[in-house]
Amino acid sequence: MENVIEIKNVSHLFKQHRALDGITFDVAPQTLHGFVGPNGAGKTTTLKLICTLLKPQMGQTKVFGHDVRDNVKAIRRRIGYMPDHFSMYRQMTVFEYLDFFGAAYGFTLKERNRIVGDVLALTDMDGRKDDFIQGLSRGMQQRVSLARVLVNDPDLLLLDEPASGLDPRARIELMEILRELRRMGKTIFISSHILSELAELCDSVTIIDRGKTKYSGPMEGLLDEQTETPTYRLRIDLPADEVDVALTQIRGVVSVEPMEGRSDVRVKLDPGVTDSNQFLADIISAGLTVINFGRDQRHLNEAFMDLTEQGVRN
Amino acid sequence: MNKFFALVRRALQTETRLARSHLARCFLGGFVLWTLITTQFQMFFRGAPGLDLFRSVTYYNFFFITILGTAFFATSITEEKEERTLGLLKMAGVGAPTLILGKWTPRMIGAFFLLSIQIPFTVLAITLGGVLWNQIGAAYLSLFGHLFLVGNIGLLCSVVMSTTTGACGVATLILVVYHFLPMVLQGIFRNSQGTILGDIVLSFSGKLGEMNGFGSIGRTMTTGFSSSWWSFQLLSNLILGTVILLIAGGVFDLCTRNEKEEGTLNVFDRIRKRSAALSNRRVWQSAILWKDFHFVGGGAWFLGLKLFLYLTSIFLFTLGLAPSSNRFYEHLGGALFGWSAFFIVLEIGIMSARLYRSELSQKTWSSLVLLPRSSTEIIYSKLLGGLSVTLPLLCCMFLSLILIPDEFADFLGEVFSDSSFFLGFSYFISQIVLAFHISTYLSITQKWAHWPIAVFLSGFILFMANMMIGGCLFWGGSSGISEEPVFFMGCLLSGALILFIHLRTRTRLIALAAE
Repeated sequence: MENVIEIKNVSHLFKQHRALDGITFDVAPQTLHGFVGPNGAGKTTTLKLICTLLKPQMGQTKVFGHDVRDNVKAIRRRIGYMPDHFSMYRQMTVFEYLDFFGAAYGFTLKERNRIVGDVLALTDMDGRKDDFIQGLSRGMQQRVSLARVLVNDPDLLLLDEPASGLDPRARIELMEILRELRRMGKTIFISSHILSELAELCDSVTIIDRGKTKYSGPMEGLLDEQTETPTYRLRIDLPADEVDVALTQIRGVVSVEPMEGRSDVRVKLDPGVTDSNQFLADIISAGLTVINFGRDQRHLNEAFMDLTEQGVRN
Repeated sequence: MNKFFALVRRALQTETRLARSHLARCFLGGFVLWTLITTQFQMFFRGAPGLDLFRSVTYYNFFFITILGTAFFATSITEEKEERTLGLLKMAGVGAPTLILGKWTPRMIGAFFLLSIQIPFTVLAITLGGVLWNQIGAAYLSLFGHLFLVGNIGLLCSVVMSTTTGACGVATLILVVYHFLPMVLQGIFRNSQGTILGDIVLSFSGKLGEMNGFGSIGRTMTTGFSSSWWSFQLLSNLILGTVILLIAGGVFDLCTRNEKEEGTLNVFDRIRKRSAALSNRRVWQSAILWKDFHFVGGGAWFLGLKLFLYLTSIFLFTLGLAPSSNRFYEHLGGALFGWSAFFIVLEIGIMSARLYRSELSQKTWSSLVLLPRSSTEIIYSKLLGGLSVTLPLLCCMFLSLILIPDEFADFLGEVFSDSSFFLGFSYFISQIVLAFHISTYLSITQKWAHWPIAVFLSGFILFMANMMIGGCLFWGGSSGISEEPVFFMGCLLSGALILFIHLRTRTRLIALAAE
């Protein structure tokens, strides 16, 4: 299937400031793609290029195969962009607001009744449809924003910091809605600073820093540390001070390292001597009880810190 | 005391760094210089060129203070409210008197700077002849009194209102009422002289008129003025200004107790909110038109209310002027037409300065531009929706045409039969359209151009530009040539300017969607 977003060597300047410096990445259809970078990295500029608000100065930006310079209307019909700030007509009721965008997209009254009902149900806002937007909480307003983005049934959702400023419950609920949207076959391109949630949610990720792409690809590829000695996380039913001694006696174990603040240990194995299956079998044969075992992955935070540079961009 | 000086110092430092404050001083100084040059050219035709120069400069100052002074002082507290720094200042122990005086003093100093740069030029008026030191002193004191009053009205509005736009709007409304109420009251009660109510109202409106700086300057500028520098206007403006300043201090804590959330609804929004809740309205197929009909125009109920108020006021005004005339309906028709034309210009001016700015301040403009429609369609749909503000006045105008059809036909006949009149009329209309364009452009490009400032500043710019062009034509010795080519060239130039600003506004609006 054709990529939904294709960005090749895109650069963008604001007066003397180079916001983007040859970024390149693709987004596959029906995936949830995370877009991460420090403040000032060029995330919002990239999003504005994709959603056709900005015209690219250099490089190629394609959305659904259309160049953003040439076929603006065709792209706009198929996307929904949620900016990083609340942009709502606060004097309207929730229903009016969605009805307004339905009419603005050219839907008839009958179609609007159905569409507005559907998006209200999806965002769980049907009980608040007659409330004025002004009186809603931040989390509720974010839901209404998301509902607005869904009014034209877009194939691609571009979400800029959708969880910023939300309380934990509202954030979790928002992530649930995004999962549901992915199940419905939407492609979601989400820019966020909340890395733990992105790691859980996204299929693929792009990390940019100072206008340059640092990584773009599957989330797994970023989190799996590429080392010669495979590393695993293990928790066994033994007091902490005895774990090290018990494990170093197992064949093929190179090192055992306790994990900070946890009762797990990180075990490095010699691939020429053993593998994960053999290692597990040896532990069990040694009479140890395994509570938890798995491949040791970097956290997205660690990958982000490794890939991005320290300090504030000039 | 340290806190007060810290506030004053910070404000003066900020003011010094801003290019616009230096530009404003340069603009006013340059304008005074230009007026001096034109007066020098004309001194052989005039009896008292110095007095003419000084009169012009003083009136420019008066308008400058009224328009920009309002905005200048109306931002004093609201800027802290909008930046959400008022709470921080209060937590740092800055009390209401310190805060008010700390905001008020640097603004007064700024206004003095603005007035002081022109004093050397105005003193030159004495060498041109016809003006006395007495008049200069009295005029500057009148201006100071006016500035003191206008500034404190702006300050009080800034304390009471939650946004700068609201504060500027209310301050402008107060000033409009203050300047025009005596005239309106005298019009309505002119024929009630001798009755208790009529005498009270007329005496009140007379005193209100004497308090007005515009009238006071006019009296100062009469040839042979020899009164004291102190006038009723100066004293009353200082006293009223001080009372308003004290009220601002008194209500400060009450009005700034809670910081309001961004996008808080104002009184009019709340009225509309209630009417919306009752009407269960559905969006029209032309969604943008619907939105601006309701949220800029005010919706059917609000427009109906406006129509009722306009009709009632104009009816009462005409009744006051000509209660027993057998040509009452002709007078009513004329008043309806004249007032409707005046208010249509005013309402379109206000609408043009609010229409796109409200989308930009609510950050909704990018959502609108992203609709799968051309930017042109979106921009003009909004304009069409915004023009609904004129519906009540168009109804009044239509009613006037029913009442005085012959007079209207005569007027049209005169416009089209006399080419000079036609071109003059066209030039006048083109200046109004140009003013709308300037006010729209200012409102979307300048952060400080809230609607009252944008509207009045655009009118002021055009008035000055026309004065300058008129002056240039006069020196160029074109006083003997026919008016027609002048108006024709004026129409062409205005048309070109309108087109240029129109296209610039469109380009800027599209660019603003991405900011």
